[in-house]
Amino acid sequence: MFVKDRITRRTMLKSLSVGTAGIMMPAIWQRSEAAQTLTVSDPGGVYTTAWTEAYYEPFKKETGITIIPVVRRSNPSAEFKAQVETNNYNWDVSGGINSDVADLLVASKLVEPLDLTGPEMTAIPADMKNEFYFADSVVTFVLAYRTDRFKEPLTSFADIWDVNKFAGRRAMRRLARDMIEIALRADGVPGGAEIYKVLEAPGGWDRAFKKLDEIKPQVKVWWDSAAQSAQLLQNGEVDICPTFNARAQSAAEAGAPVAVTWNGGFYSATGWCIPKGAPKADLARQFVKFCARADRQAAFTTKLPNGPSNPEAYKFIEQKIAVQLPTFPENLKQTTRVNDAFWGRNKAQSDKKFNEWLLRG
Amino acid sequence: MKGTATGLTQRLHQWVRGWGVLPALVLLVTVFLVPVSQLLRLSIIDDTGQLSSEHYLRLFESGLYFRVLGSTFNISLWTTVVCLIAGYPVAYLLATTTGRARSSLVLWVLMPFWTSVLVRSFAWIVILGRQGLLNQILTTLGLTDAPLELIYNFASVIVGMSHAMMPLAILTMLAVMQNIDRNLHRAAATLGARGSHIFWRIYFPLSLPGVAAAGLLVFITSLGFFVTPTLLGSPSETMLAQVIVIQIDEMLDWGFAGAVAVLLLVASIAVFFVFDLVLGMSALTGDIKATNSRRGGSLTRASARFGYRVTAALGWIGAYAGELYDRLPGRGKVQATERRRVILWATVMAVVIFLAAPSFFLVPISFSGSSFFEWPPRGFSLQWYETLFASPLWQQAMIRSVWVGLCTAVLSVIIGTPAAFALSRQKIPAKSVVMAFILMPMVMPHIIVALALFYAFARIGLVGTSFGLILGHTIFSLPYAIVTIMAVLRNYDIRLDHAAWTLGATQLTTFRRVTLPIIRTGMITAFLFSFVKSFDELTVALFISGGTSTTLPRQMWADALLNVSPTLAAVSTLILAFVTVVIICGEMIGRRKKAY
Repeated sequence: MFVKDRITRRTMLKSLSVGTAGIMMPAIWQRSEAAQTLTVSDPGGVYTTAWTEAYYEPFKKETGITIIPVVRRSNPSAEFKAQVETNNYNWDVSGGINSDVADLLVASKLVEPLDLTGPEMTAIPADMKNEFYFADSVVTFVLAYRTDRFKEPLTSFADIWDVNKFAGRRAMRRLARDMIEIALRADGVPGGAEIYKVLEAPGGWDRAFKKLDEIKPQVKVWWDSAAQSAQLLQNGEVDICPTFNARAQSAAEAGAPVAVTWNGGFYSATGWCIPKGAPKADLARQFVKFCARADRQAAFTTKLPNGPSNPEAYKFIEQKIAVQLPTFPENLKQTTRVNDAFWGRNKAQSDKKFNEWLLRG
Repeated sequence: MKGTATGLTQRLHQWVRGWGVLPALVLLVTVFLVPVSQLLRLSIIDDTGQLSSEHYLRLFESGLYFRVLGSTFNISLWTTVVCLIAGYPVAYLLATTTGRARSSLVLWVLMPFWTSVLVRSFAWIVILGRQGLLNQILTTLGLTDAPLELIYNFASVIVGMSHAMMPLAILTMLAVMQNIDRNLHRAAATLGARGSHIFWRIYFPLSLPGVAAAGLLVFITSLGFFVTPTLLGSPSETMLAQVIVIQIDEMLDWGFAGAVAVLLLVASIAVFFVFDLVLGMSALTGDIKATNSRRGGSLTRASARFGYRVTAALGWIGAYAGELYDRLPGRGKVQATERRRVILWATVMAVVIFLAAPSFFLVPISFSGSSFFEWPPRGFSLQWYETLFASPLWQQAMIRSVWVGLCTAVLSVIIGTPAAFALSRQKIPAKSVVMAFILMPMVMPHIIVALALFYAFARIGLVGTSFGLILGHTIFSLPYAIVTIMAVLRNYDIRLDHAAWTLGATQLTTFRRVTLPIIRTGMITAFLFSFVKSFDELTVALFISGGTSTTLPRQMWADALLNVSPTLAAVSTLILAFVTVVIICGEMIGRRKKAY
């Protein structure tokens, strides 16, 4: 009952708390309150690095407004809803929002209108902007594979299904939309509007799932987090893994024998929204407009291989980098835009169907 | 008697004596129950604000959600079983060893605590992968021709989850085992009991409250997991928390997410009451002597009788096995106790390697020249440490996390200790209900609590404050603190207090000189759990800590966006080094004190 050994953990914790208290002494909650600030949320990591260089610092230089970058989750819809409904704003504007999320936010009336005037906004293609959303970049879902496993390059999604010619391990994304887009392409449907025609016709969904049935036994990993897809390709866990161009390229950049096939890829936009009622909405609009400039969009591509939405940005981008970007004309013409409106309408049903199909074992 | 005036006063009286539980209840009601039920209210209304059962009906539309519920329970159950079986010998050894061996063992056992869930999971991906460490070793040794499929299945999920949960199980059991009187061993041995009998018929039954508490904590915590099964499992290992996150984020359908959360909650409460029925709350609350024979249901008594027979049988089996082994020809005359000790150490070392290996594995990766988690690491570079030290954001995040963690831990222990006393010593009306309520935050997915707190705190201006964040984290760590301290109190003979009073000690002196030394282990364990819980928490921090101030998990998680870079391994290595230094210093201070 009387514990002899009374030293270790008590003293450990004692010195732990003393030690940490010592480190903590310098004030922790110093908030820099410059004359004018704008709090911008982004997905963090390389986005913060790239955008600080391309947008945040230059914006401050030009306007004197300091940008405070903060991190948010990759899908900030719950943050938007909570902030707007409570009228309590952690940040004034948010970037890196996928177009499908933006559609949901617009439909739920959670965002401020933007200022789409001026030459920089006029240069932006019509499908990259609307009253409430401005997309500054494009990400493409492409076929990626390990070049050390195959003698010949893979040329289309149909090659995933060719298990004789391209024997090897496959990884697929645990997401209905992307898998159905891929399956129908592999089944001979051309990308773009044709896909949705097939799905809206009777038997369209069954056709997609029948095609997926064929490949299911070959799929070793169903990935969920995009960082994981890069890891899978990089360490050779799988040989074929359709993923976002940026993830596959980050693995290739790290020296892994990984290549992407643009052919048949499908892209969606990612961009900026302002939460409805944000107190600094005017400043935020000014900032969003700044992000439409060609030279600014060109600047982020050295760190982040997303495609600039302003076509004039390519005047400022080195050829070596340009060829890797989704909106590089040569790449863009091989790919098609995902129909966000269609998937918005069908998301609940398709997700449920897909998850049941996955669980069926 | 019920319903009469005397009954009422009596119950009131019980509440007054059980005051200790009130601060905990007040906190849980205001910071958890009210906000969360306001959010869950969305599950019983439709878009127009009318009362509706549409969200619940959707649960039954297909077998999907119940299948996911099934796999959630299955995974949690196996995680619990593995943690208890593998953790018990470690806790036993820790409880029966002293000195340096013990403190370094504790250090090793705690290893998984200091690495975030995300980093840990990626470490397992690199260890278990097709070209991972384990397969590299197996093929080099010529044990397998082709790489084995070690990951993306049920087993790898259990490996990842039990790795995360084992320290919790071990420390909870240890807190109880430390208070088992070693003199009982000697008494039994004097009376002629063999080692095996002593263990199974004396030590094991006395350690059971710890096992029960550990099992409950691990099981309920596992129910809310989703990072590990997402990263290490296949679609069949989907857990319910994942479904909830998807509904909240991708569909903005909080009503249905609420319905799924209620399903998870109801199922967990059902498990808790089954636990209560079979083992009796006594396993946790300690009033076994007073109530077991009288109040306990027939099932409780039956299981107690059954348990008695099982432990007796195990004692005999162990004794005979030892006997037989001794009689094998060619066996040296090794002492039976020696031999048992060797086997115990070997088992414990295996478990400890399992627990510590991934953390050590991260050390070389943190010096890698590649921007991925990769084995073997390519090249040598200090760039990941440079990233850390060059960025004020990382330092600020680290400091803030430690600060919030410490405050959370202090608050949890201060509120948790009186609650644990009241729950294990006093007769409180509807004790099981109170207990179930206290455990509730453990199962509630963090995203639900985060959203609920955001709405509640926004109204009173607590969003973006450290205080709000500490309150939010305390909700999650309080259950751990209460259960751990209760488990220690279970073996605490209240007659010691009475003896002290008889000898003239005041209540305060008794508490300081008698009670505190006995429950200290439990309080330290509770402190540690609470700290770690807060240190590793991401979602509430994202919502509540507001815009500009960041915590370590937030920062780590942001860094892992495009790919998981060795910066995270560097963070883990630094924390590891820091904790090791602190513990070694602590021990040196302790030893010097002893010398005087």
